[in-house]
Amino acid sequence: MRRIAIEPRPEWQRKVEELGLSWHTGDQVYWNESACYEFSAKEIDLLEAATNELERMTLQAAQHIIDHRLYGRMGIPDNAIPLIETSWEAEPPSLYGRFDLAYDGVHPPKLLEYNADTPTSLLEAAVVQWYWLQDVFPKRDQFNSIHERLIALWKELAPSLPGEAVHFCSMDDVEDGMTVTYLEDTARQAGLATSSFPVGEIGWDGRDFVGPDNRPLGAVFKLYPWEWMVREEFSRHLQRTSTVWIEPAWKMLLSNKGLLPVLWQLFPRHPNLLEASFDGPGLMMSWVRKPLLGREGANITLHRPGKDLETGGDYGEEGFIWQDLAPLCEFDGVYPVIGSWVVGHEDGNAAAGVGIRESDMPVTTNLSRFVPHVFG
Amino acid sequence: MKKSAGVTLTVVASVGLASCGRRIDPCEPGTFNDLACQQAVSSGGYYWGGSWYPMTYSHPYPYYYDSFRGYVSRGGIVRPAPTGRYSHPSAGKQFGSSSSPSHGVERGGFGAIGSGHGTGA
Repeated sequence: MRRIAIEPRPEWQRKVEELGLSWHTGDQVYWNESACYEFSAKEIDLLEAATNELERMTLQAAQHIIDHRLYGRMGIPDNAIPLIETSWEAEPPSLYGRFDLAYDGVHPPKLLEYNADTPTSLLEAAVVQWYWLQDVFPKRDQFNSIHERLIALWKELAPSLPGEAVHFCSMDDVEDGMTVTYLEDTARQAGLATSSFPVGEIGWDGRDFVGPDNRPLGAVFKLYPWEWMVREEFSRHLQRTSTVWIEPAWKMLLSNKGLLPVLWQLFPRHPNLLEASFDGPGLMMSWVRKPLLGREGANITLHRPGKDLETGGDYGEEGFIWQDLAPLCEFDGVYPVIGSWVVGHEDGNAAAGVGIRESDMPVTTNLSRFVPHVFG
Repeated sequence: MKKSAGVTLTVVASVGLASCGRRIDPCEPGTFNDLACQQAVSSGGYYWGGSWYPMTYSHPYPYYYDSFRGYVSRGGIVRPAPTGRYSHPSAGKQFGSSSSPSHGVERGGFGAIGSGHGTGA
């Protein structure tokens, strides 16, 4: 694994905008093609195998959390429990997730966290870096079958979606809009009927959740976290309707940082895990404290002997976990994190590709830049 | 098999359109918004982003509703604008919010927490 400085394509801004990446530059560049990461085929095989292994382990962890009712430990409110347990038993459609891995090409990939409910950076990983590869390294390869895997999965799920239709909801902002519009695209290519609207436009007519046109919502893909949904006004209706939510409620168990100590308890010293605890750092010399329900790198404390780094934010009310500090490797003064995508849950065949985000500090935040990759 | 066989897109470019503020007629079948269309027909226009746009609707509201239903039944994709985009500029809140139900439908019961945070993960 190495980081290579390269020349950006002429008019790269227009090229990525044409693919729907309208937010490529904020205060600084977000889509960064002045560099790329190069992997060997063996390294890609390792990432793929680790991702499939983690997928299998997290499903076992979900069963363990339910069996041992660890909800309180994870800050999950009581009204969410029947939603979780019902959805776990019923196995409603579940589409995707993203493991964030520390990897340096030397040590085994280590799980930092699992974005199982509302992962973003999808269009960049599935489409934009793929077109970049065609332009820049057309004869080389990329670990990326996310796009066709999504379309194939939608086709598989179609019979379980009422009316073979799915409605897409998110907050009314550009970044979330990019993700849901891309996913809507894949659903349409799979032959599903679709619509999209802001999550605040979801209505309740006394019997059903309804869309802006007042028609009942059969299946909804919501890029809106379950931990927020179960704390909002309409949560009181969630158990009363037949609306199919994607991702399903049981994903609350996996997107919660409490998953990390549960995994460590179930699979101690597993090569793809870092030690983690609900109860403090214990004997860890260097550790990271993460809010159970934090997002975008907020409210993280990174401790090394004699040196603490903290990020701001307003998460942490539900509690924290402590995780051993990963050997996050520095490449040319920046810190990459591998976002390893899973599509579906097929045992041993869920890994679908990777995207890389890099930061100037060893915490990935909403300012971290997306950098494409190549292998072979 | 690590490599994508091919990536084709059909609607993602609409993200750019949506984000550059293109005005959307609430009575068009593909962007139909029930309440906003009713108000637009009765008022002879609609507010968009706080500005008034006069329109000539040559039919009563049910005509547009029927057109919308026909469009949907033929498999048409509906992509309505957020209701708040049609708000009167002096309105303190968007119509369709939970405190002002229309046709017995409450809205705004999801999204409150997200309005102060990024959902990205």
